[in-house]
Amino acid sequence: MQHNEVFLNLILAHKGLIYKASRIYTDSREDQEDLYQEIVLQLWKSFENFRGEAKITTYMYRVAMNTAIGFLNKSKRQQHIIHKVTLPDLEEEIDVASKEQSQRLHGAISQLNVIEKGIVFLFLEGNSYSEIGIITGFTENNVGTRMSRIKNKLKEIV
Amino acid sequence: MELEELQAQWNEMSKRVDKLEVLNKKQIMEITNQKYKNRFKIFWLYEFTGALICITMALIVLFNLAMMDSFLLKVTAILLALSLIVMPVFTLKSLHTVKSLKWSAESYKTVLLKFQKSKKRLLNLQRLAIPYSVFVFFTSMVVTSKLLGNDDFGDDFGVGMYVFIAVMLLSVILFAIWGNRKYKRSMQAAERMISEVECN
Repeated sequence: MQHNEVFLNLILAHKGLIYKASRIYTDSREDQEDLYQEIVLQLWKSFENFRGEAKITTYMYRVAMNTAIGFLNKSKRQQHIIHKVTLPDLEEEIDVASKEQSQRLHGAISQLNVIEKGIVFLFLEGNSYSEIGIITGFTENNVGTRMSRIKNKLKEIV
Repeated sequence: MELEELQAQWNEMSKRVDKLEVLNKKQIMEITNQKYKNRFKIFWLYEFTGALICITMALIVLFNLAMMDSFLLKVTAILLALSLIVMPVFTLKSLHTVKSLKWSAESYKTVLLKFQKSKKRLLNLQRLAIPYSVFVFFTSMVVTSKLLGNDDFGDDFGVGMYVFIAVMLLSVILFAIWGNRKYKRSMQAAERMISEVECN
């Protein structure tokens, strides 16, 4: 019971992380909702193996991003979830300028490949190159190289 | 777009997300209790049932090998039985790779590599699927006919049957050419991704 409570509080405390991870890898609300649920489920399944050796956010980023790869690699008929939760629309109550800004943000990210999306997501979340390296498995130097390439690629995106 | 601009917009979005009531405790518990059924399980069940049918058919053929009274028929029956076992086993193995991944223990890089490699294997398997289906179709016709006690398979073929076989073969060839183009594109994408992940 206590285990459940700890997990529930963890999800509620980091709801934004899961929301943003599911948003960055998907193009439609339907896919985002499916991926959100899948991430929560995978976090729950792997929660008992979490020994606290790594930071809780490292574990959460890892599960969220790996689940996203799995989700992207499943065919439509494999991935669709029958009953699902509905996520609130982030752009529902914002003004036109903010909405355009949000669309521009996701439009730019959508043009990156899956490796770049993962790295830029962790960077935007405030992780250092070293932390990104731990989560992704790339070396710190490699993360730096990839970030410069991403910067150049973003410059080309209007 | 500059990275700094992206960062500013991201921070703005993060603030909005933090204010959102995304899920409540009840909904989270419902997800963890898997009340929301994932179709992947159903997909797995379909594949498993299909494999079971193929393996049962292969066993029937192997148990009745004595009924195949010529060397050629015996070889055809053995090849049919083998292909009925090998293909579904490969497919199930590929699905198992995905199911057995430990999401929290593996790094993003490892998972990406495993998925791309598994994708390549699956693509190779799909490429074989067309000639495989034709092979199973014709060999199973010959073997089943023999199993049902028909000793003169092919002797009573009419023009209609030959036309049917010719149309079948032509369709398969056209489908294979189309499939091959698609295969090449997907394979190139998978290989590009692997080399990009591995590049240091």
